[in-house]
Amino acid sequence: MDNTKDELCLKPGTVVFHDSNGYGLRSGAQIPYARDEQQALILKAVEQNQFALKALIDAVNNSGPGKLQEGIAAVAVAEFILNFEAYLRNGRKE
Amino acid sequence: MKPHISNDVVTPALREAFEAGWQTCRVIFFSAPCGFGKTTTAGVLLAGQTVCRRSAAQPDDLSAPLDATCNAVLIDEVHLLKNPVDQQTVCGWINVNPNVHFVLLSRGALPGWLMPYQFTGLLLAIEAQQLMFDRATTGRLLSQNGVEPTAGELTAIQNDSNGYPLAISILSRRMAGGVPYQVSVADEVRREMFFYFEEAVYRRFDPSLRQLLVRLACFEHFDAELAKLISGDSHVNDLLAQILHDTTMLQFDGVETYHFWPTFRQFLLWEMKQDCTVEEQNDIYRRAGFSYELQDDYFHALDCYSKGGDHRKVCDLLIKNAQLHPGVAHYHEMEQYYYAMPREDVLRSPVLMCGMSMLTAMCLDFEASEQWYAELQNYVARLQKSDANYKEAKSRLIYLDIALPQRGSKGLIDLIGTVFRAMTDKNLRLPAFSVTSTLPSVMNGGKDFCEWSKMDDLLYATMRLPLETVLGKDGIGLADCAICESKFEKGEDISTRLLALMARINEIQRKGTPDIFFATMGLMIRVQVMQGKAHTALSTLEEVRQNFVETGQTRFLSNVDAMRCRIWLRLGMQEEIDRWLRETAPSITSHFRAMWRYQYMTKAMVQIACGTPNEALLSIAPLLPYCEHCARIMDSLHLRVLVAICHYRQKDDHWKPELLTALDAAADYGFITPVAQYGAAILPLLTTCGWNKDPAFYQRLLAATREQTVYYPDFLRPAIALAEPLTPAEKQVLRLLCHNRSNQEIADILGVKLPTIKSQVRSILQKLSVKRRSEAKEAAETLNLL
Repeated sequence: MDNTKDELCLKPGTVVFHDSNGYGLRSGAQIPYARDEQQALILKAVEQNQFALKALIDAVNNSGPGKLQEGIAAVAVAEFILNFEAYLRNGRKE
Repeated sequence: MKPHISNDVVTPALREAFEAGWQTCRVIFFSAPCGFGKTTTAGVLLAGQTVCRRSAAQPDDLSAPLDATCNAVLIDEVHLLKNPVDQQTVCGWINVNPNVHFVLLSRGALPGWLMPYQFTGLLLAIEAQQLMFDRATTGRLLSQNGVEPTAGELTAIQNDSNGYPLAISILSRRMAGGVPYQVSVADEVRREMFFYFEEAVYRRFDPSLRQLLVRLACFEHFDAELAKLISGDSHVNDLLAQILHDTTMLQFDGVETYHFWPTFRQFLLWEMKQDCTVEEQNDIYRRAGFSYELQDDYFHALDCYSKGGDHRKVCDLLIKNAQLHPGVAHYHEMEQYYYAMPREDVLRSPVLMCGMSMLTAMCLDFEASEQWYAELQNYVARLQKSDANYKEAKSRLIYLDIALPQRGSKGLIDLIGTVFRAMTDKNLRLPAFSVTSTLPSVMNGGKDFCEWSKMDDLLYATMRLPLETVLGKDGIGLADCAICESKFEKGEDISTRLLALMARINEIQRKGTPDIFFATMGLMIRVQVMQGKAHTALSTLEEVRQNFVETGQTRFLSNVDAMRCRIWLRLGMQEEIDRWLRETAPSITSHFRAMWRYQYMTKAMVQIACGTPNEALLSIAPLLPYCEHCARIMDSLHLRVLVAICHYRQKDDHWKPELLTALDAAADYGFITPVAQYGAAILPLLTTCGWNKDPAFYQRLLAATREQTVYYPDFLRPAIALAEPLTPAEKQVLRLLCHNRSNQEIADILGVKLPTIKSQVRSILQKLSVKRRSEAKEAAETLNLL
């Protein structure tokens, strides 16, 4: 399956921002912050317009190449997706 | 003591077989152990013939010439004819008297010297099974002795005795005078029967044979090698051949396996208690346990070691079996042994602590489960990484973190990371676990992954490759199956995805696990059902079943059979449904098992279709707290729908809040299929419940439900109530009438007088508002009465 279209999509009106409390998303009055360093790295990558899931996994993976390392990084991205589910769009980019 | 069996207690089937044999054969050979009433039965069947009676037990009987006026010769105790001269005498009689029928009675199997008559079609063999009483015959015998049991008692008597004539004869004497059938009476009958076996069979064997019989009684089946091991006698083949010749209490399958007739085996076990000291009995059981252990039959080995009082071996085997078969089914099979283990023995073993935690969780004792988890945690905390037990103990702890049902799936993301690390950490050895727990689903298998369904596309894209590359064979096809299921439950068209998934089925079978194979095929089957192709779905499922049988994956069969029953419900295959309910469905009287939830829900569907919604509610009641405690979203949804249908059928207004809660949950996840699949059963509730929180979702759900109703308009439809319902006796008569039995045949089968049957048939026709039997049969089918 072609995964080049697998990208994170923020819901309309949701933006990444950061302040003294760290990285987070802003959607209207809601401001959920990243819960850990890995989620902060993901938000930083999104802020830099890196939406591809592969790129986000690479952004989190600071242990180098390898199935296990990439797997652990993918788990972190999956956790991010579940935590911020309310602000993300499900589905593949058309 | 010779049993008395009344003169006219011969089943119609036996009489028919005998009379057919009388027409075409010259020799009729009765082969059955003692107590089957061979002599009396033969006497009844030969009524009206001029019979010359002989017995092989009387030496002079074979030297006296036959009476020239007789047209039938009855020879009893033929198994005693071991002398070739005597055998030739009987053959001579048969050969020179072509107009005479010979009826031979034997406790043993057909001997070689009579086989030529069988090969040439001159001999009919009647076996023990044909002499067993059916229910009607049992009722008649009891009645002749002044015993009139209730229908329930008659059922219990027939089940307990299996129609064994001796048992029923003794029972009829014991129950004379109005004594009800109860455990104490059954025990007395058993004791009297065993005393008879002792006198008539056992004491006639020499001591070495008796010793062999008692030792072999520990085994349900055995072969000559096992018999040699147990007895220590290299001539055991000869001993077994002698037993086979003298009695059919021992059976041989013709290849290599022997087994005792079950009642005789019970007698031998009883005899063992009479004749052997406790130490001797324990020794016999331990030898038997060792033999089973050598064959890797841990289930029977545990039984024998437990009976032999060898608790050390029980403990060792539980640990060994848990290591070999870590799947959750193992714990239920061994449950009694786990609970019998002394606590201090369990606390010494991480494998046993893990087993206890899983087992208690499966039985919904979550408090005990967490206590055992805590004990294992403490055990690990006391170890160093260099300790020999550390790897096993740590691995078992991680396994519990993943597999315990009460842990839900919220923290599972952390655990997946932990699993990834564990699987590549040389210091750990994770036991095998099943994502599906033998259920046909990844999303609703061992854990409920409904929460993930909300972001299924993103999570699939993120986790697909890591799951396959890190989990190895456990991950092959996992993510693809999960995304397909998620979309299917949302009512989306998954044809493209399913095609891609099915293209991998060979890979899943070869390199993956049978669990993912079943989940994948289960999804395919569910899609076929939802497309109105229930017959195709059934064929697909039969192939899956066959595959599991051939590959020895029997742990899936219970859920396969439940799935099959759900398809039968759509096709209206009532006989098959009834049989599943009678023979396979879990009983509510046995302990509740969370892992049988799919079967409990299937049973509830059957009970709804049978018009007994109150029984359906009983079947699924224990599941409700389980689903709540273990965050089972999908199961909760199905349960609420089933409960709503039950209440609706009972005309109880509580159906509405149940369905509204279910619809709230379904809408939250976008799930269409879990509700729509109930089609005709849920449609009237859906159209009147007034749920309006999400009109677009509701319209989609309604359209999908209507589609299912068109495909299966009678799904879970109860029998239409008659103005005046049929009595239980009338239902019995109607059932036989639908099988084209005449009134006389019905009377014979039920043991009731003919005028009574005629009256019942008249009543049935009147209640069904029909004039003819053929119309009654049609009405029974149309109204789904049986």
